[in-house]
Amino acid sequence: MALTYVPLATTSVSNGTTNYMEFSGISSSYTNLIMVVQGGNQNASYGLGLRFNSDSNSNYSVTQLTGNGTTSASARETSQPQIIIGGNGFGGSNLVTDITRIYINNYSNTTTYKTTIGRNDIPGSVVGTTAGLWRSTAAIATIRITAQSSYFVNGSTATLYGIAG
Amino acid sequence: MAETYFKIASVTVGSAGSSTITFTSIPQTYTDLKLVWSLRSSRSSVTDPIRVSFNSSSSSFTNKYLSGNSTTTVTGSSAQYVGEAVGNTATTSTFNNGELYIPNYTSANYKSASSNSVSENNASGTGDAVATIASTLWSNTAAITSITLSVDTGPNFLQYSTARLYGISNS
Repeated sequence: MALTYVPLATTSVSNGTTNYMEFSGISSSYTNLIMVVQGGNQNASYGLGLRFNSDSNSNYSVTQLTGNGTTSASARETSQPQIIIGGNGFGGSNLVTDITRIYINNYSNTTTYKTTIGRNDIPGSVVGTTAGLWRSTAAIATIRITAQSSYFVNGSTATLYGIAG
Repeated sequence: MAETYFKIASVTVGSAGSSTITFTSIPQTYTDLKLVWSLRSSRSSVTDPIRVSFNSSSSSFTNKYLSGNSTTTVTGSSAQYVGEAVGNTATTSTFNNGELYIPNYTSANYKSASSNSVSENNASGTGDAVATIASTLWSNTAAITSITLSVDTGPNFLQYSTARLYGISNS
């Protein structure tokens, strides 16, 4: 029986100078993608950035909702060069235990812009969710997750899964 | 090809109810764990907080959550809290829906978990329905070998409550 939840690739950080983790050559044969990142930005003031197909133009927007146990907040950023997850008071840390999950449904269609659903946690400190948009009808073939203005914490990992069916 | 999203075990609560739902002897062969549930509590209320424990431990847990109940948004700290079960005064046949994701559950790091939970029952009272996201840190380096769900007041999960534990492999 064919698998429906397929690990496409895993990458990890083993030094202190890795700024991004990237998946390229993503097959278009699945329906949805899920990326699971465990680990954080060495600079706790910043979050992570999500970029598709090496597009660094201002084609991204994001709405964030977060809580830190004391204050809840929401913010929106438009026409950005990447989907920003956390940071700027919306959760950033230098811990390897951070969890970021990104759901990208219908990623390979060539008709619609691509929307992402994110869940980003600094466990025990901050909880958050994001809605992201990439204004492109291109199929997603490359995903880059970047530690904004810094590097990933050693031991950070990212795994990309394809969901079939 | 080996299964990469594998159902390790499932529990369906019987007519007598159950105060806890526990998965033991969790295989150490996967990368991540995902626990999904559909829960209703015997508490005489519309909701009942759900707690998680690992390896029979209820210590060294920290948490942050963000909840909305149609009128109020609340963020706070409540150790082991992962969401709200539907209580027994809520609309008949409604159950909470939730999930807990635990990456690298066998690692030597502290264990982190991310949960989403909703309880909706087509009622109009304040607090009748709750949507919650929560982050949990268990400051313990032991591999997770058992997981238990419980409710604050209950005392029981009611019949037809279910929970399923999946193992996810990254290769």
